[in-house]
Amino acid sequence: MTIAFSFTVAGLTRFAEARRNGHGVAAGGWAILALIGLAVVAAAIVLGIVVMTTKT
Amino acid sequence: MHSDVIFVLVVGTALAFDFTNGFHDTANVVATSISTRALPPRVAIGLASLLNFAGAFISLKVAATVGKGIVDAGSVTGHPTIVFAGLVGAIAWNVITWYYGLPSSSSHVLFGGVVGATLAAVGSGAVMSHGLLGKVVVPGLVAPLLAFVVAAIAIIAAYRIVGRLRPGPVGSGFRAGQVVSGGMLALAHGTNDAQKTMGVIGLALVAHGDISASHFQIPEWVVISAATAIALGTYAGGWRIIRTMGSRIIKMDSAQGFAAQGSGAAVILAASHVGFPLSTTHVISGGVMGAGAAKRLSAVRWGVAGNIVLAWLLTIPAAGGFGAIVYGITRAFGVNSEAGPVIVSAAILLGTALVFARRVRRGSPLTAAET
Repeated sequence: MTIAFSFTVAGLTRFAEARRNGHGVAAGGWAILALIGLAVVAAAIVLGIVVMTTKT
Repeated sequence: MHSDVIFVLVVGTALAFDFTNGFHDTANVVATSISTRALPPRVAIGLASLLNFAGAFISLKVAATVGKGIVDAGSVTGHPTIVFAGLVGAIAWNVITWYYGLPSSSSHVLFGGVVGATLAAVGSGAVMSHGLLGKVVVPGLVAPLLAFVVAAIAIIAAYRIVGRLRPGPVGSGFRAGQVVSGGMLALAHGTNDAQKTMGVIGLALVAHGDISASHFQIPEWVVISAATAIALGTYAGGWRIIRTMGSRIIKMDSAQGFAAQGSGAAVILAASHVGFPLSTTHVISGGVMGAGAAKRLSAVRWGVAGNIVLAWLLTIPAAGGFGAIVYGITRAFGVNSEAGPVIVSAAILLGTALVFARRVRRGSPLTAAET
């Protein structure tokens, strides 16, 4: 979870820098990395809630 | 149970223990978020309180474990003072460790208290040593080590990924993430810890003859009252332990705070999934130490860490000793006599009033800047 979120933070930071410098393609790449990281974190959260709710 | 008075005292003491559990364990959930200023202290505690309340309704598996796995539920039938003495022993050790700012496990405190009182009253035959070893002792050793390693690996990887970036946006990103990871921890804490009190009240209901030991089921009113007590305790906030967890073990940055919380939540939920219950306190303390040690070994104040580990080792025998002593005191007034529990309860109420009066005189708790 920490590793995936680190990629999200890194992706968002690099995305902002690349966009500010006018590097559209690089910005898109970093945005995709951030989204993938965020998706993994979201999946981990959903999995955690499922684990909690399915304890019987 | 022969007396409704004793039953009411047991339920009241169980809810009081639940309150101290929330109060004691607030730090597990909020200390890192407050320390890194991811959330203002009151907001962090309010959120943790709400999620602890919600978590208590999620599952009842742990409640059944307390009722059935550690001591023989059938043996306490007709001996309500055992449950009462165990709870008072647990509260006593929780208050002592809170006073010294030590994050000991409330689960171990509860198990220790109940086992000590049971040993004093019935003997070793009523204690399920296999359950105690497998469900309490082994997880207690494994939890902090596992969290230490997972958090250390996580923070090393995180520093490699974000290490060369500007610290401002990175810090903001991890602080935002801490709101989510702290929320997950609070939910997991409510799911585990409120149920322990439910399990103890379940034992009292067995002893009172309201439910059968062979058909152990927790009534709805028990779930609601336990959830409320732990949420109120969490909202009251155990600031001494928050200070220890938030800044005395390591001086943490937001990435370390996220790594400790995220790794802690992952370890607790993964262990839960395979039926291996872990102490939230042990996991988070281990995670905080791992996140600090991976950056630099000397970043961890090993003296503080040593005191915490010593408190962990003492928790079960100390709470058990208190439980046995309290059982002895109540027994002195006669087996299942109302006088013993009534006198002990009155003494607890008086002691609690004195402690809180002293705390109020000392002024307000710490702010984020002090953590």
